[in-house]
Amino acid sequence: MKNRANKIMIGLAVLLVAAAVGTVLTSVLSRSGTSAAGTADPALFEERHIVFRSLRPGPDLGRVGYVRAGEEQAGRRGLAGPHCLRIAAAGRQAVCLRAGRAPGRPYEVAALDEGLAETADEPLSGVPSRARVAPDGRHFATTVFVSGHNYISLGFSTETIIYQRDGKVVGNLEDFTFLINGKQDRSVDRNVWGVTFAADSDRFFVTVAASGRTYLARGDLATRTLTAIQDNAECPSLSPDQTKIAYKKRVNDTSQDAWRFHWLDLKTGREHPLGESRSIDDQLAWLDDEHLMYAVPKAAGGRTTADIWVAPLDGGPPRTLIPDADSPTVVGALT
Amino acid sequence: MPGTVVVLGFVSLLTDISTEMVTAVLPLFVTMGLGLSPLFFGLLDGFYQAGTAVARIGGGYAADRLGRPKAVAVAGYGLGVLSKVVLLPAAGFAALSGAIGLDRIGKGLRTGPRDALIAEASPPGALGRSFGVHRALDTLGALLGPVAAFYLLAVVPGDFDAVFTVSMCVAGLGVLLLLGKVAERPAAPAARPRARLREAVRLAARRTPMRRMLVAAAAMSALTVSDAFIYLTLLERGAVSAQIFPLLFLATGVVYLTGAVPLGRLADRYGRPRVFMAGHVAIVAAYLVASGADGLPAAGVTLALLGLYYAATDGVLPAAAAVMVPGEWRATAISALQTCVALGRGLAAVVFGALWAAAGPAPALWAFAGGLAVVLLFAAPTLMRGPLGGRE
Repeated sequence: MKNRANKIMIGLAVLLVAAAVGTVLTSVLSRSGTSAAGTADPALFEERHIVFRSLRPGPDLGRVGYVRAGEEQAGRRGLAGPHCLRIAAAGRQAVCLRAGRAPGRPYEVAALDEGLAETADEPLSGVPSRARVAPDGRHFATTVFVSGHNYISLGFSTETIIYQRDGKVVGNLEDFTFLINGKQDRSVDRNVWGVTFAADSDRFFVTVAASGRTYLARGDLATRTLTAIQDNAECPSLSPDQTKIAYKKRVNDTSQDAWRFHWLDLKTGREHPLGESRSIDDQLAWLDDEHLMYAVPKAAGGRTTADIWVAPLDGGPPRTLIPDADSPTVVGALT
Repeated sequence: MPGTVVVLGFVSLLTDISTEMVTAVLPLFVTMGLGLSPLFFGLLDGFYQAGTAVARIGGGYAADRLGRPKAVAVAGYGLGVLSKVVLLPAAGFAALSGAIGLDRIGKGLRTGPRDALIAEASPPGALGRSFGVHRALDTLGALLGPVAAFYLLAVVPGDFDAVFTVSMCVAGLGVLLLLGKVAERPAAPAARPRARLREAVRLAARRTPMRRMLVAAAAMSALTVSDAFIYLTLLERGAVSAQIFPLLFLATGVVYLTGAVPLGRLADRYGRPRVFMAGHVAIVAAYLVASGADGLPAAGVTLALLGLYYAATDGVLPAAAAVMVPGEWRATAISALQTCVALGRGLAAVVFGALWAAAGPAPALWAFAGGLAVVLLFAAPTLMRGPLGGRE
């Protein structure tokens, strides 16, 4: 009797080990096959392209992808460069936020040149969240969620850093002076996330949370200051013509239905909603001065992936722009 | 070394590898896989901690009342496996919080009964060593888990389902090991008293060493700052860079791992309450060093003291409790102690967080160091009574 129970246990253990090994092998095999990636199109940064993260299953899952603007549906998807978790591009520069290559370096940011070849990498102190490159390519910014280990249960905080093109750190935005109504804010629980650069690349907009409130702030690299300009506007995105800022607004405290996209006309000061009625947590990116792009998560074949959607400024209905992709930004001519 | 203790150590090792694998990838899964903000985690944490406390007391009491600690422990470890099953199709916040909730309830349920099994399998004179062996294996699992998850995600980038499936299988192996290789507590002979709630209340009401231990452990824990705050202090003071920040917990874990058995043996020899108190002296020293840390050497000393604190307290406390109460009450007593410690630490986190925000890290650490030193001075005479410190 005892013997039989033992045999059953050993049988079950073998089954479990087989299930674990099988799952990993299946996953590895599903990625094998020939990569479609090549060298980046020399015209990538010359002509208008949408650069994104390709989520098509297979060996190129997570790789930098690009497609000529206006040819999203019919155009061929170019694939080049490294595998990433977040991608952003502008000027003649791209950045790739990805998993690191050693257990002590869980995440890192790699700077990519116009051929999407790596020129520098720097460690990141948490899970990649946002990335943006300045329009002239001189600076780039990353936001990560700084999370602890199990022993640590402090909740999460964000860390936002601006770098030079070569990966040298310009500043951690938490160390910048933060002004609310002209007065310096000294709260210690400040969090900063979601940079968007102005055309000159020295000024930018960003989200700042302090003492339980969330602000849209204007930032200046020269004076190392952040100035609150509005409440409740997160992950800003400045239009190519510099006259509009799009962002997500918190409309609900629940996690299920928290966000709605809006844009602010900087000339009139009026705020307009986008036609997107779902709650989506992403930093908007301008396709052109009239359209905004964002990634919408979806479940496909038991795996979570995403599509890039586009919505017009006039509040019209959104539509899918690029399936199986996220992290969109536009390169090429500015307007 | 009793075989059961080693087996239970390996059960915990497997379970911790499994849990820490998931913990390590969860923030990435939530942001990349689900498109949610991990900031929502923070909101649920307090809720889960309260749930774990209830499950812990319940698990200990059920183990004693039914006289079947193994059965309750199996249920607790089983919930851990189930939580990974729930994670697999998790497509939203509800499923995710459900999975985390199940995992925490399971952890609460199994701890007391498992420690009672360790205590029963071990000769009374070697309890400290036995718990030391168990905690060393347990910590090894906690250190291996994130590394395993890292390499797995490097092989199959973005495939969280593969990580969850492997994690579930590893946890399942732990349950099988427990089922097959650990014997249930022998049925109580008719003459042996059965655990009853009334009895427990009476025991707690008397001035027993157990009650002194409960009060002292709660008071000390309420002045114990979580590691996270100490690591953040080191970061804030520039003693460590953000790049090596992820390695701090690893360093603490390695010290804990290597110190658990030697300190357990010391506790067997010189008195468990004494070593338990000495552990708290180490953490007071850790606060003081951290509050003035200005470079890597000071950071290293802080982490070493922190690791020693865990090695001198985490396994020594149940070892001390095991001999203070009758055998049929062990699971309840141990889980009551651990609940007091958990609640104390929860309170400490809230108070310390507020102090940190108001006065900054160094003054907050001084306040806690001062408070803990006073509690230690008051608790020392009562806790160290008797030839072996508390063993009457």
